[in-house]
Amino acid sequence: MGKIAVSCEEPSLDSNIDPRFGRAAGFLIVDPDTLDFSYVDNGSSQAMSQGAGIQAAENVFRSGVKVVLTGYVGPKAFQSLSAAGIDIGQNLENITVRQAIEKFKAGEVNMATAPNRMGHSA
Amino acid sequence: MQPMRKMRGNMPVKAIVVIGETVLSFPEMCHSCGGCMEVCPEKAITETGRELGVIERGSKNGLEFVHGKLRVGEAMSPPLIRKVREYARPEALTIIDAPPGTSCPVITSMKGTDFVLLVTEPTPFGLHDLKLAVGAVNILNIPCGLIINRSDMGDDKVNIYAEKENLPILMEIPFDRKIAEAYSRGEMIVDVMPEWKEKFLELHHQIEEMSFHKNH
Repeated sequence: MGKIAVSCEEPSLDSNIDPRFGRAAGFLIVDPDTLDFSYVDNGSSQAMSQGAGIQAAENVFRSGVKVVLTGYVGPKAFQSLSAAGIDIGQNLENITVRQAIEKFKAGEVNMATAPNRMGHSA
Repeated sequence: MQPMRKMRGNMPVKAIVVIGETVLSFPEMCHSCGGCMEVCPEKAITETGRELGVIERGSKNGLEFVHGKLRVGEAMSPPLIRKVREYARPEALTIIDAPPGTSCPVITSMKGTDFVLLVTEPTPFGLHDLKLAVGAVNILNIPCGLIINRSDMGDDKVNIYAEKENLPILMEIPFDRKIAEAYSRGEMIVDVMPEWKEKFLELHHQIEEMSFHKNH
């Protein structure tokens, strides 16, 4: 199984999932079979006034994952991730990264066909 | 794809994104800086227009009025504000109604003006935002003065701050139901309460004396 990016608050499997995709603190890049992981910081996206989701999608793409697990994905991030051929599991909240991976492996995560958040305007 | 990446790196906003072999563009993110056309070695990028909103004009009793209506969903208003400001005639008195705060639309509205009239309220919230606004006006180096609206409410902290910062309080407008009612009908305070006419003329006179134009 390919690697999975999970939006998270801290670089740990027991971190809570960060429900915001674009403005997540970072992404845990997890091998779902071995649970080996690395961490991609997303702080630069958090500081952007606009386009955070697009930058986060670039960050995730560069880590080489095929799946993203997160809470809410806006329209631009959705378009960017789709162009990258990355599947999006959304509506995950109030669980840890480890639990999100387990849910995904059990086939309990609904894979998105459309963004579930409106874009933000400044 | 290498030149594309170079282009992306140069861009202040996320209007063009390269993901693998796919290039995506997000027109609503574009600030029209032209940087992408500048760095593209293939000259593959050209410019086109995009509707940000509409400008409407009218006049009454010798007063001309111009405003811009931003397209619903549009993220950026400064280009539209600049277009509206192009209608200002240098020889005539121009009043620009700026939004509250210190964001880009506010700066775009204030830049290059002769005077900034800051309208505040005597509340902690009003004072907080006033301090930010004064900071922005000082950076732009424009003379400014205050109007305290609903001046008979709240506390005296705005007055204390104004004195400390040497900001002239040019007018105080009390909380008055008659003013609110007139406003809600789109009527001007000077038409409904003629006693205010003299005060506004005096305000105009004071602003003229303090303005950048007068003193440079």
